[in-house]
Amino acid sequence: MTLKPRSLRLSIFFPLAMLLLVGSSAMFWISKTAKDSHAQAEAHQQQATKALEVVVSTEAALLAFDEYLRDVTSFNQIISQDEISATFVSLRDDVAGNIKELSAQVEMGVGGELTPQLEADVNEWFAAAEIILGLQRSRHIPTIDTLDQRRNQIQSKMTLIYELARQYEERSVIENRVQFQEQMAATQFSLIVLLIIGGLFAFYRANHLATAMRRLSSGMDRIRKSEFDFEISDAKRQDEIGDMARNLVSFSDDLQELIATKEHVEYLALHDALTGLRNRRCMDRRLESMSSWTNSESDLAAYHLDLDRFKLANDTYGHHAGDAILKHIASVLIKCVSATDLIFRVGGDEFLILSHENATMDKAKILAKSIIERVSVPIAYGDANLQVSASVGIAFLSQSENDPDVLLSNADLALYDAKGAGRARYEFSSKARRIQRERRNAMLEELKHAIAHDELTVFFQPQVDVASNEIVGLESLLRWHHPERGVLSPALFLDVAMENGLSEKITAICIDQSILALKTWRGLGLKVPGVSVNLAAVQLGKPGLVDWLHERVLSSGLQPNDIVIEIVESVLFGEHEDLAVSHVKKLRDRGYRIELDDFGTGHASISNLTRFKVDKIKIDRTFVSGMDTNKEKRSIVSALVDLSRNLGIECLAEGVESDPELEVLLSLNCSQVQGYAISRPLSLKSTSEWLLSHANAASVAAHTGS
Amino acid sequence: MMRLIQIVIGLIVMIALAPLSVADESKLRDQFRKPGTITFPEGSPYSPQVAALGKKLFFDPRLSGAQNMSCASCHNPSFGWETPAARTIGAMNQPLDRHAPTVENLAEAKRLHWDGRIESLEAQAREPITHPKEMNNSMESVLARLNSIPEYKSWFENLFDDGVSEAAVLRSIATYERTLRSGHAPFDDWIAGDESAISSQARLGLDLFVGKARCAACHDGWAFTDFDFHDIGLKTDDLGRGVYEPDNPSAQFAFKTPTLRDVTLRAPYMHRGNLQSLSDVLDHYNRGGIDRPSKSEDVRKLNLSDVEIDALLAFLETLTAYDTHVTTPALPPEVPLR
Repeated sequence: MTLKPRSLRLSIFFPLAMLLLVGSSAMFWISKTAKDSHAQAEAHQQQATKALEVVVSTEAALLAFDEYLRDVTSFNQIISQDEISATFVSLRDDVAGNIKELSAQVEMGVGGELTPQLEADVNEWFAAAEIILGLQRSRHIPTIDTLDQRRNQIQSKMTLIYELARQYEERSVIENRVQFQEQMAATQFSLIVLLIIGGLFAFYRANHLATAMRRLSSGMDRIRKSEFDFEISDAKRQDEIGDMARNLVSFSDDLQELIATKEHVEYLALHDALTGLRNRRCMDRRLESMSSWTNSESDLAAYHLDLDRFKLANDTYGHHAGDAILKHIASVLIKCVSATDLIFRVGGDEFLILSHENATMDKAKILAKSIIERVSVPIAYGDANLQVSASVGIAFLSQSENDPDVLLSNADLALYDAKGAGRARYEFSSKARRIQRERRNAMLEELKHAIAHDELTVFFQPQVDVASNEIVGLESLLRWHHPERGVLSPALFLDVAMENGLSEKITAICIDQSILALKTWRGLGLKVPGVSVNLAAVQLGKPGLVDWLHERVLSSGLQPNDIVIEIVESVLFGEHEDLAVSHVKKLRDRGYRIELDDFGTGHASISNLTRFKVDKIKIDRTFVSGMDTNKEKRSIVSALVDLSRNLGIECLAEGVESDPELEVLLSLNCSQVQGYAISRPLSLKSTSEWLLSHANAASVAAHTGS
Repeated sequence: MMRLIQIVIGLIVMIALAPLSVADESKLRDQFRKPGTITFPEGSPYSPQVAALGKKLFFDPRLSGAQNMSCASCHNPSFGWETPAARTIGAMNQPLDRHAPTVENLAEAKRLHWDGRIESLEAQAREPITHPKEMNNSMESVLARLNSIPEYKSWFENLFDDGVSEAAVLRSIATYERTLRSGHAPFDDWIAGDESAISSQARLGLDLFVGKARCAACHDGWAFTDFDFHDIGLKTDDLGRGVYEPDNPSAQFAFKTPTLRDVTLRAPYMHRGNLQSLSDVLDHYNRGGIDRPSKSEDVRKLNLSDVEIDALLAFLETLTAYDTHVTTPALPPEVPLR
């Protein structure tokens, strides 16, 4: 790696390396000194020990000589002169040898002038001993006392020498130790001084670095807090800190750009490009952040605003006109509301205003009126004047209802009411509306429970050709066996089911039970041409319906013409060709019979019957009921019967409740009937029984007839 | 105040007399210093072998007729080479005429026995062996006996030209006896310069010994004897030296001055052992003994106080060696095992 000329590595490593170098050389020096001193001390010690050993050995030799002398001079045994002589020579030489060695040691500093004296004494002792041992003839024999005296002289000198040797040893040890300690002290002192100097330098560098780091850190902190308006002084440095500082500066610049971009993106994400108003996402987010609104000070009103006839203007004058209208509306709304109020464009022509300022009934009325008035002012667009109006639903946030979702749905309901009550109006969210909605919600829950617990079943109402007394079909009718409210008709719950995604389940229940019923009857040997099933627009509009139904029918062993699909006029003859219509066409093409239910009550014109060929029309009960007494109804039914016959479409009268009605229908050549006059809707079991009894009656009639 | 003056004067006197007293001390030390050597006579030279042979003979009871006494019977080293009997009991179980004298420190003695009738240790050794009252043997018998003991025979033959002979036997014993020297005593340490070796009481005793008590008049020299004969005024019918010097008045009732080294071991005292203790001895000298023409002039009434007598006793105690123990030799068997 390359080092910058002013790299921190140098300024950190150099003092560190110096410290290490100094420390290790000092340690090396100390250990070498210690080793040398130890070796020297050892040598001294060895010498001193050797001297001591020689002293001890000399004493032993002296003692041996002395003991022999005492042994001989106790005169307890007669020892030959030769033996005495030999022993004497041996012991004497031993002593002499030791003393010679002692002299050598002495020369190295143990005893000084003592050894010559010792040698003289020993020689005197030897001389006296020689006489007393009879080795040297003399008339004057030394006394034992004399010998003892000599011996004592020698002993005292030996003691002295021993003491000196010991002292010498001690001294040498002490001297070595002192020398070693002095060397150590000097080394340690210089080491400490060097370490302090190095340490101070390293501390200075570290402090310097730490300060720079702290500056950078506080700079980063400021950047993190989006305070970009300051100068990073270290940026001019030539070392790594300088690098960091420069990187920080560029990071700061990048971050500023990034923040600007982010803000822009966020703005785009949360605002409507056309009007510049906040969009639905922004509203959702705003409402999320206001999750708890229990504080009464933060009263809030939601104004849900929807443009009337905007679609018309849009369709008539084009999208540019629509855009112009929307821009105009946005500017109008901005003028109307207070500065703190928030305006969102939440849909194509829907706006929502959240206001803290205008959160009382009175203020809301004024604001709503003002908005409606201003919106209603025509806008010049090219040559034309465009005019739209606005309906406003207003809801308030209250202590009891502090859920933002509830607020919005209340406002929505109020808007719905406003629209329902005519346009260019405002309505407040009412308690009755809320209760109604709550009931529907309760019903929905119950319905879900009911589906899960098989409380929904299908009843059947026979359709009979009274002319031939033959069964022409059975209409399956959905029933809810409510545990508390008894059997409920679909009119009470079907809307709720359709609006809340339960249509497919309902469809499945109807189809499956119908198939089951048909198979049951045919299993009993009954002649039943088919079962009709009511399918609403929502049910028909579900993707995949046709294949699903077809698969069900075929897999159960039935044929498409066993199943009749009953639909209302509005499904077929609406404004648009939708998925429901195409499904009906496909079903007809696959062989399913299509019957038009409640015929005569829809908005479609009769001419539409030519556009779509159905298999049968079912004349609505409103015309049939009371037709025996009401001439007008009879005329309508008559006309409808004639119409169908002329178009080649079968015809059936619904809701036939009395024999007079039956007679009238027969007189009008409408023989296919359904209603209480024949049978009320029955459960599967009862239907089976009814069909059996009907078949038996028919057979009896036939026999009777024959 | 008076006391202080006395002390001061005493100090001054002491300082003034110090050189004198040092000179006196040195003289005293020389007076009693033991010689470093033992001088053997021309005709009887020392050898350790002869001395050892002599020691065996000295301790061998086979030298007596009944083989019931050795020299050591009456010259027992435990009693300072004497015997505790007042008059020595001989081989015939009869008391002899006199108390057994010590054989210590006799190498240089010119005359031996209480009366000095013998002049060499060799000659002296013969006397008790052959004396009927003492060991009751004859030299012939001794020689025959020694010849019959193989080890003795071989030693004699090794050491002497003519083997077992009377001369060789006597010379051996005499040689051994010449080696007998009193051991090193506290007083010798004092002589060597160790002032603390003897008590101040003993030191006072020394002064009395050489002074007022006049002991050193006869008990002089390293062995505390002049080896001469003196009548000390003891009541006795024994003429002592007078038998041999009838014409010498001072020899009548005179006996040889005994050595005082190891004297504490040698009770009873005097030539017949009639003084039981050293106190008795000192008491005798203090009173001066009975008056007789022959009595030594130095023996007279001394007027020593009890303190002084105690001091003298203390001094005498310092003459006994630290170690007086003597080991005895193993004697050769009568006949060889095979």
